[in-house]
Amino acid sequence: MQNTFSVVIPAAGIGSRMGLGFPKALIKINGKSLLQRHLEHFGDNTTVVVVAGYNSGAVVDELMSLRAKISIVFNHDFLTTGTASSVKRAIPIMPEGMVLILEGDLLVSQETMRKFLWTRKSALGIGPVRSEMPVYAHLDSVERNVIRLSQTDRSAWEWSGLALIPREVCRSFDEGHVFQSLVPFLPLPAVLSDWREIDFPEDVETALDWVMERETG
Amino acid sequence: MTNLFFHFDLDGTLTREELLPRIAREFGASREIETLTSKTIAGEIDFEESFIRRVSLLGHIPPDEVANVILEAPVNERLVQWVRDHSAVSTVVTGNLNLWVQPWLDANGLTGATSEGVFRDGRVVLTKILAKGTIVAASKLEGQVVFVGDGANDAEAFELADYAIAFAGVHRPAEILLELADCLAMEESGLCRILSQLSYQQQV
Repeated sequence: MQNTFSVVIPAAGIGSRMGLGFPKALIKINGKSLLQRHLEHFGDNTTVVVVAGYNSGAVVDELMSLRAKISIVFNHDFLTTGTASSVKRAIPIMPEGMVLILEGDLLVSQETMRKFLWTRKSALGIGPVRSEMPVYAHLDSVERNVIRLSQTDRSAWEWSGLALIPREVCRSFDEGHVFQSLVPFLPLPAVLSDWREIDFPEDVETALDWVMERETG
Repeated sequence: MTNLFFHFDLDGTLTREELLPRIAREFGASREIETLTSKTIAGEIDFEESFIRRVSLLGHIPPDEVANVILEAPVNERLVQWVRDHSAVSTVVTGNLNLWVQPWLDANGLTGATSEGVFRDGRVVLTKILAKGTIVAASKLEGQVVFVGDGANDAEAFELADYAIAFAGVHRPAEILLELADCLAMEESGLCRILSQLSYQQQV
């Protein structure tokens, strides 16, 4: 039976390394925004909330053009708070159960989303280190669980920005980055994931190649 | 367990269209009313001034004729039902005129706070223009307040409410509301789900 969960897409940040006037979630890859690509994974019965802050009007416009039946929660303190704060602000309007955190600046493969849709427990998406500034994920000896997350202690693996966790865990989040708020709840099961993150302008071309490989494969 | 109150704007939130342009189309003065209405929604004209001007354009019409036009306005049925189901803790808060909207409130089984006027010598005379913030402030003395609206004249209510929801089901909410809101619902069923979740929690 498919897991029942709701989805939070933090998309409030400026994304200063990109130098855009709009949130990274609105970057179009092969004609579709990252946000639209996220929404295509979910049906009408899944509660999806986007957290907007920087240029929230552009997010409203995108959702209106997509006729998306989802809600926006506002993080007006996007200059001084991180993704954990955005997730926490969504919690009052999320139903009980599991929450899938899907960071707004990611591209995630269908196959990876399917793993998260069908897993029966908490999960952190991980993969081989690829980013410029990874959140390293340390795994246990059987490589089933993430036992440590760190931006300084290196590992062969990094966290993707994908997390499936209970709503109550999100209520304890603080103002920083999601990974920092997850640390007290480790170990958490690891799920091998296929994703790309857009942090720098050069990531856009890599992302396009990644999408084309998967859409035409 | 705190008391949680729900306050709702009327035009463009509970109703599927703005009421004053609807009235204007029935009775003439359409163009002036449309211009005034869109400028008011956008926040270019202060609500009070806009309302005075719109009432002066329409105030010669017998109030019960205007009320009948409003009664025929399409509504967001699911949302109105939600408000009815939670009528003990819900209030409609509208700057619109009592003479025009009270029959609609009565017909839909809802209580409301409105602007007020009397029909005297063939014209509406305004006696009170509702400041939505005063209603929210009064409810806050007894508990927490959730406010749902879409226009620039909901801004003061948004600032005071414990949880402010901008509704985009009829038109894009006024820009000022995007800066003040806690959340935005794109359409009716999503809004009802949010309201039910908040009601279930009995706090925001």
